[in-house]
Amino acid sequence: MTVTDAFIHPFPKGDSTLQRMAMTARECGFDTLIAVNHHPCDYHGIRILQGVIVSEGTMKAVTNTIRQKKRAIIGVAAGDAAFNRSVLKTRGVHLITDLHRSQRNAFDQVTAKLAAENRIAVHLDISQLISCRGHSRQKVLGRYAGLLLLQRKFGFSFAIGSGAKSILGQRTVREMILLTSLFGMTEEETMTALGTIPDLFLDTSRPRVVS
Amino acid sequence: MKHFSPSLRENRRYILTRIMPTDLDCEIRELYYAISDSITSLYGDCIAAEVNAATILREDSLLVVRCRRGREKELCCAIAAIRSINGTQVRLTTIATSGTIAALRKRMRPETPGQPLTCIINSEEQSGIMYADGKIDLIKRDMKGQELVYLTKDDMEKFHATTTKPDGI
Repeated sequence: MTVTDAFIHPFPKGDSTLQRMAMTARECGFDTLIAVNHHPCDYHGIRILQGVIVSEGTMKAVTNTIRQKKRAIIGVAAGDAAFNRSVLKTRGVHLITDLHRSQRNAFDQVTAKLAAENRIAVHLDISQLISCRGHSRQKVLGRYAGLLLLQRKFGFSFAIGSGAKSILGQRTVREMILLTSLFGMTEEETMTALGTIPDLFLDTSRPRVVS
Repeated sequence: MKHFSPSLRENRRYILTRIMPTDLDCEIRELYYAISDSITSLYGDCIAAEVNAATILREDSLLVVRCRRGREKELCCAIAAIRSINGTQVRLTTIATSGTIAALRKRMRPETPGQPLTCIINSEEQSGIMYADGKIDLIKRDMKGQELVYLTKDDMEKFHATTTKPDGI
């Protein structure tokens, strides 16, 4: 079973190089990393996949990215409900991210059903639980607990990532399980979420007939 | 104050953690405050009182933390949620849990200290520490101050770094 850390931000955005982060990821128990704006490769037995996060908030940017980055894991930062529904209907999108920043009604049962039908995962950024404090952490925990409720009912996938910009931001698999338990996720659910990405990627990277 | 008899004493668990960066300059008291603050922030005062965390000993980059038996999960989670101490970014990784400090001592394997390294990148002299497994912690100095950059031996070749020491890369 693969264990993936969805979205890390190596040098130059962060302070650690991709190779060093791959070494740390291996020590942490991961076998796959999704590095934002880095080419796919293998380092120290860790499979690195290319990741792209579209945060412009427009469908034009989303479709352009899908056209240009065909071999990348594409994550789209969530917006309002209408934008999220459009994103979840778009073929080629793998993840919807930053849902903790959007309005509570931006991801409801309709969008949850769409995510499950179109096999688009919801990204949970663990760094938000670590870096936020007080009210903002409570908000993130509440939002993730709400998403978990929808996931248990509608069965869409979760993808968990450390969102690390440094090796000091990376966490072990055991720590991920502990941190996700803060909003009620069980160990099995966390392990399933950590193994989601390669399945999604394989599913959409197969050749398909375009009419 | 008279101590409780052994049958009335609470059972404790000891957790071995590794501190990163290894050369973090802080006192054990500051580590205790960071852990205590993290538990309170995550679980509140009531659970923090039940966890009853305490820092026992620190040997280089290893730290032993104590808690009440049955509250290891909360303590490990709080340790994982620590991000910085005195404004310096840190990472505390839980290595092992045991009922005795003696058992944890067997798990304590001191890291081989790194060798000081001086190199030139983009005609600027940089210094850092190189470890036996190929990891390099480079101190990057610029107008804004200094910050650590984490890389490997292979990355140095990519940056066209030239060491000013004969035993370097």
